[in-house]
Amino acid sequence: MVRYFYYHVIYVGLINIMLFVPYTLIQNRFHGAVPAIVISIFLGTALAYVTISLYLKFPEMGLPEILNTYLPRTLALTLILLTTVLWFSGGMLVIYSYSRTIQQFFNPDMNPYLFSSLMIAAAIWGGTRCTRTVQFAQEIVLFACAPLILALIMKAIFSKWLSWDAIRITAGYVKTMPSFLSLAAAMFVFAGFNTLAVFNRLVPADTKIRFRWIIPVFCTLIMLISFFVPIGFHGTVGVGQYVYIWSITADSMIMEYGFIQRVLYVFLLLFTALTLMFAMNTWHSAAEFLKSCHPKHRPKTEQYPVPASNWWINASFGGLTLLYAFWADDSRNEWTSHIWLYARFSADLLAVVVFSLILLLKLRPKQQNKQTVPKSASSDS
Amino acid sequence: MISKRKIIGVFFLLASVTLILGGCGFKDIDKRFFVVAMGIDPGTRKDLIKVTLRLAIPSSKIESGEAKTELESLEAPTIAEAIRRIKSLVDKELDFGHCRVILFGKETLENGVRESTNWFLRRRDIQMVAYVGMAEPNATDVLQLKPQSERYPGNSLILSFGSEGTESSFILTEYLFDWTRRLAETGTDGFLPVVRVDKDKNSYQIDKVAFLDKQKLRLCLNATETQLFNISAKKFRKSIISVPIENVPIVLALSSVRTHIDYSKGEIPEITLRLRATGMLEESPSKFLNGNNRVIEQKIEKAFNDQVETLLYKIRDAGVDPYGFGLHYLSTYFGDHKMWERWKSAYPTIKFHVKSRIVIEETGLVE
Repeated sequence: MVRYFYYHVIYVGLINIMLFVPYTLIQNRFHGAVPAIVISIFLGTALAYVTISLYLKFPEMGLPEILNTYLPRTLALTLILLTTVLWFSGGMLVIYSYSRTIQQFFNPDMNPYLFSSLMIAAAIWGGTRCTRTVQFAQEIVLFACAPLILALIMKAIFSKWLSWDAIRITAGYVKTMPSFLSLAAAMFVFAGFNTLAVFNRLVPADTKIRFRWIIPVFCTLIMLISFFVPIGFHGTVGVGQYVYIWSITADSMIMEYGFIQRVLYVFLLLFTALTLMFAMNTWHSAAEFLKSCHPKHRPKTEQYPVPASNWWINASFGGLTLLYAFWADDSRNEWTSHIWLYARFSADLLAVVVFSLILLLKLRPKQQNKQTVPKSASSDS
Repeated sequence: MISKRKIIGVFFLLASVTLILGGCGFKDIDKRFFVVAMGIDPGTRKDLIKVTLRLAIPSSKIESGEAKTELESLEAPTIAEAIRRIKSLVDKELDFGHCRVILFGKETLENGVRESTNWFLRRRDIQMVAYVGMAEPNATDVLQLKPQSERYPGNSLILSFGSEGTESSFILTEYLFDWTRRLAETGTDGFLPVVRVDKDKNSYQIDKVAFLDKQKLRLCLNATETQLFNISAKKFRKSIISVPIENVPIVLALSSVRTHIDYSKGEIPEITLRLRATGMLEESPSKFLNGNNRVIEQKIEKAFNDQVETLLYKIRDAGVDPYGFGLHYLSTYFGDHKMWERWKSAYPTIKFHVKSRIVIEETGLVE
């Protein structure tokens, strides 16, 4: 089913706020963020189209199966382990940023590790589920969030306090030199297609992923909103002084009905759900990658009860996240997020190169027995 | 079947949750003092700031005039220190989550405003949508007032702003986020509604506006000019235009206002403010000028243009730009730093033209 794929595209795009993407872009708003956004729209769309087509060439195979089947064992293992680290740390960073935000805006007297522990516990449970369950859960949570997302976006765009002058002035800096950091940050918004790395196992042979225009349209919209709306609310100069830029922006909108007039709480509620979705997905994927390093592992998309290894792996992810929370503070987290954004962007490009090479070198001679390839996928290696 | 082991597991999980929740620092609502309004004044000594808090006293009665509040004020070198000292004067924990009004005393703004705004930005519990205003003569005097019409502590002042309660064309609404934006932004300056205590000592009088540049207070408008500013800058719909035509007072109640700003090309740009307002005649003799609406419209237009132009020059000469002409100029031409420098040198001598189009939609229920 194609629609499950687009859920990933949308919530991964939205979670950018927790990964310092708007903050990074806004810090560079006069020094190359705007051209980076323009480039990322084209580059992101192209990458998405190409990567999707490449994955579809390997029906019912996730990233680890493809690598294990066609690459030498050591190379495949290295790549899979690197991917595992990348995916796990994505969830980790989001959980940390989110619990920091909650601590700041909800109850600063709270023990900072309490909330991250609660989030970690939820993410561990989510991550241990089987791939099919994760996929269904994403749909349900995203549907529950949809009204909140729409309300927030409408509230922001149609606010009469939004200064379109400030937005226009910032957009005028399109002729500056694009900075690489801004580009890496902006590219994250388009990163949703990467979830095929595991969820391609659920895509049967001869499936066409149609409506691919959804990716450029939605992701561009999300990117423009997450960059320009804070500028519209806080001005070209004032916007630079805030760390929790989107929380402050949500707080600048007002609801005149009901007993809660701060839109901030709607925003925090929405991001509770989105953070959980993202953490659940990344940790589940990372666990799947890690498991497939074992030579005898055969991936199963539907399992109940789940194997104990799921629990052990996800629990250690949780432990590592707690350790990270002990080490990190706002500036260290920002630094780590930047490195993560760089790494993720490079991994996107690398994936395209590796897949294309595999397709060119390995798959062509085996054109005739293409059908047998998936079945022998993991046992071969 | 749920196994025994699972039940025990869930039990332990719940028990551990209650254990951690005890440490989450949450205070019961009846152990909190909600700050509903806050005032900043200069202290008796030069290095002191006087902070005034209006605290809501929780009460079971919700009736007009029954709302009780307590006023605490203290002088300290900084706002943060004053708040900590006030905490030692009250029996409950201060909670700023419902602080919806922040008033700066007139004298504070005359001395400079930046330092005192900083605290509000750093505190996460201060709403960015809190209303900001200037209190005259000082914030303590204004906050001391307890209007009879208050149902909830402090709600009289809250309802005055925004569009929740009264919608007056003399009251300008300024939120904290907009105020801090204007303090930093190039090409636009801040404004604050002026809050005074009414003569009958039972309500607030908010009918003036104060303009500030990036440092301090520069100009206060009178009530008529305030309404003109509200129409021409804020496009406020529920206002009136009143002009005497041939010594007969004519009042037009507006229903929609649209504005457009044009800049002429050239080294020193000239600003044309185009304004289109439609409305209904609320005060006019019947069959005035033979009932020829177009003639009445033109006469209103001419008088209105003059009024707004005078106001624009007055604001320009005070060295402030609350309309955001500079910002709009930069955005029109996608300007950069150089253009901003040019604008800054041009603004003090810039020329304004106001071209309004008044449309009388209806003449009310009579001809």
